Amino acid sequence: MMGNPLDTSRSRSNLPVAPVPILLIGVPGSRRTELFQAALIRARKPAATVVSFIDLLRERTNIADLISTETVVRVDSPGKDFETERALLHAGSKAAYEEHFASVTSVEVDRLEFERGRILYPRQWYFGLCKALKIIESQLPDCYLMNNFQDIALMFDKPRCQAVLTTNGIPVARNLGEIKSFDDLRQRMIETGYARVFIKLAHGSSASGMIAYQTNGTKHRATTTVEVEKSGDKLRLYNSRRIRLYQSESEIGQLVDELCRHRVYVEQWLPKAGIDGRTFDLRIVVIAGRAAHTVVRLGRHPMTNLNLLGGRGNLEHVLDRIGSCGWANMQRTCEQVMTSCFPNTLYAGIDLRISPDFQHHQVLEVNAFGDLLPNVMCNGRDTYESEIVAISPESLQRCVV
Amino acid sequence: MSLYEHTAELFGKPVKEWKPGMPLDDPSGTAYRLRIDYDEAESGVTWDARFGEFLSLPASSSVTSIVVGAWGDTGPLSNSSAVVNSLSQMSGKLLSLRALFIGDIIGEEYEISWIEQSDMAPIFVAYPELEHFRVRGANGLRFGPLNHNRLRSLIVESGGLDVSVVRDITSSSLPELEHLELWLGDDGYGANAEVVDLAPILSGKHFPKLRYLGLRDSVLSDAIAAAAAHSPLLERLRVLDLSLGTLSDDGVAALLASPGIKNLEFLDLHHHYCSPEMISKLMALGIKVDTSDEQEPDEDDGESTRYVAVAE
Repeated sequence: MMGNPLDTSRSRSNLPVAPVPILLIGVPGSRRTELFQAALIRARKPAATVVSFIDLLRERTNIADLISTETVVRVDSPGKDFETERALLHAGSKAAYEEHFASVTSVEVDRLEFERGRILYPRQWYFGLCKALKIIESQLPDCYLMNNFQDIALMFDKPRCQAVLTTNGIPVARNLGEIKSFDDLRQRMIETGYARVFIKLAHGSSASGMIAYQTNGTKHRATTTVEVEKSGDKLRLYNSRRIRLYQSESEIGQLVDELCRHRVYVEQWLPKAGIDGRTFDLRIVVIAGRAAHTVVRLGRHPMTNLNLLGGRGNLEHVLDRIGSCGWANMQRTCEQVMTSCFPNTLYAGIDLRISPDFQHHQVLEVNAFGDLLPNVMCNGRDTYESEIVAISPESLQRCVV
Repeated sequence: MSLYEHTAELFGKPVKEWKPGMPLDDPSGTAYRLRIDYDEAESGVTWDARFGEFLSLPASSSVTSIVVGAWGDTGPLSNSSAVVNSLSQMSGKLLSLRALFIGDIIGEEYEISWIEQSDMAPIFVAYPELEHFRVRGANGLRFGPLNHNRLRSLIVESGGLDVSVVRDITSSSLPELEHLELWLGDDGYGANAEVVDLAPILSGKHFPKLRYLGLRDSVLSDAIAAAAAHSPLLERLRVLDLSLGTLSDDGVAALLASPGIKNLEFLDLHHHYCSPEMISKLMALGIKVDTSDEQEPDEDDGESTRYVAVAE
């Protein structure tokens, strides 16, 4: 059962004091894990105990054995590790099988081989993540949590997350809903009058499986991170760092139809501002309710994810154009995302779109593990160290058994 | 490449985006940009409303320079005829207008090949004192032919210019024209003019006051360079601008062999496909040459392609 940190009945003397024991659930040896351990050293805290998603999912570990009432639990990204991906696909196979989206059986999961960039069953992966979070929750004794499990799951269900943001009055791009096919998409675009849209995987991370599509009814244009390859009579989808341009309606239709098998949703493509000869958006990490580390993500394309090697831009140049009043509003929006939608989660990375006149903004994504911004400092600390320093009885959710 | 930022300068004047409520405190020194941000268009702001509000300021009659950005659509961009008509009809209010840019639209709003323009002739009839004109996007673009006695600068930015626009311009009477810039573009995006279509310009007979000639962003850069190398225009041109195109060593060889090339003050070749050897020969000419932004041909399936900077 999840407790609310604000109405905990525990007295202050029972709360954690340094040294804080931290349990990190993630991928042992990964860049994220190493960077987090390094941040603990800088903050003069003991190293975290690391539990892998794989061990959890295979029931080789019981977290209860590793935890005291003062332990702070951090769940980090299971990404960028093929064995972990496989374990999550296994864990999600049953739930995925019961739905109509693309899925694979456990036997087929075992046969999968690593292929760089291949988009494997994101819906099934999401079910696997939810299952892992449930396992963690069921094993946890009384302790502290850096991130709330329902919040993580919500952030990885982008259509649902957008709906929650909308309900809470957060400015977002207008949603055209989930689509079943390219024909369905065209119909929605005609109904809504939108000529430019983003097609996104419901459970994709980063710019995975994203298409920026525009049409005036006769001309078509899609820029995308997705590459399609024929494998026998089947199509395989790959994420590429090279942005592809498609201008044939039939090719775009085929790509969209294939992507729809994995659950996609569509939102209006809001034009982004440019700075220093590039398009940009902002990644703002909110920690303990405060907008903190900010990165200008540059791109030559509608996709500005840092993974696409667009590079980081100069924040001062951007802030000069936005002005202090506008900037305060944008930071406030990001803080509101966390305080009103995710009050029990210590941090998240928020992607913010700025309009070409630098006057308007919308929240594009909320990333549960969007705090990997090495060497980006705020008040002399990187994101991980700032999160560690922010650990306090007031800022953390208590998980009470 | 795409265009990522709105223009910061128009014919030497800084551009400031005008929003309702903003005073026109420097009507002669600032170029004011009127554009409907997508977010404003979503909430129902129209070009006519924005333009009308601008004109309601008494100082608008002293404004010398106007930049027109996106004219307010959330679907496909409508063509510019409504903008052209309203500007033309209201010329009696914009008594000081000397410089106009229609289509300051960035790729994130609409790519250059998706901008729908229209016939610009009414503008030139309505504003006989206009001196500088710039337009972006060539779909549907026409000029008449023009008969205009004050126009000093004409810039047409496109990713693929139809030959009809080139012919409109080469058959125009523009006795004061000093600066002519045509972005010719890529044949995949509608560029269909050939070097022979540029002959009336390169002959030097048209446009007696021409000092700046830009034949930019072209897949024909080498052939244009070869034609320009023999042009009598070189005797009086100050600037030859073949930038943003596909210039390679062949084109540079022709330029180097031209006796008139050293008469130029500036040769702008940035965004090119030339070798370092040829670039060093250009540097030895003794004139200012911009050879920045060197490109590599795109190698795909054994085919080598040189792309222009702005096409789609």
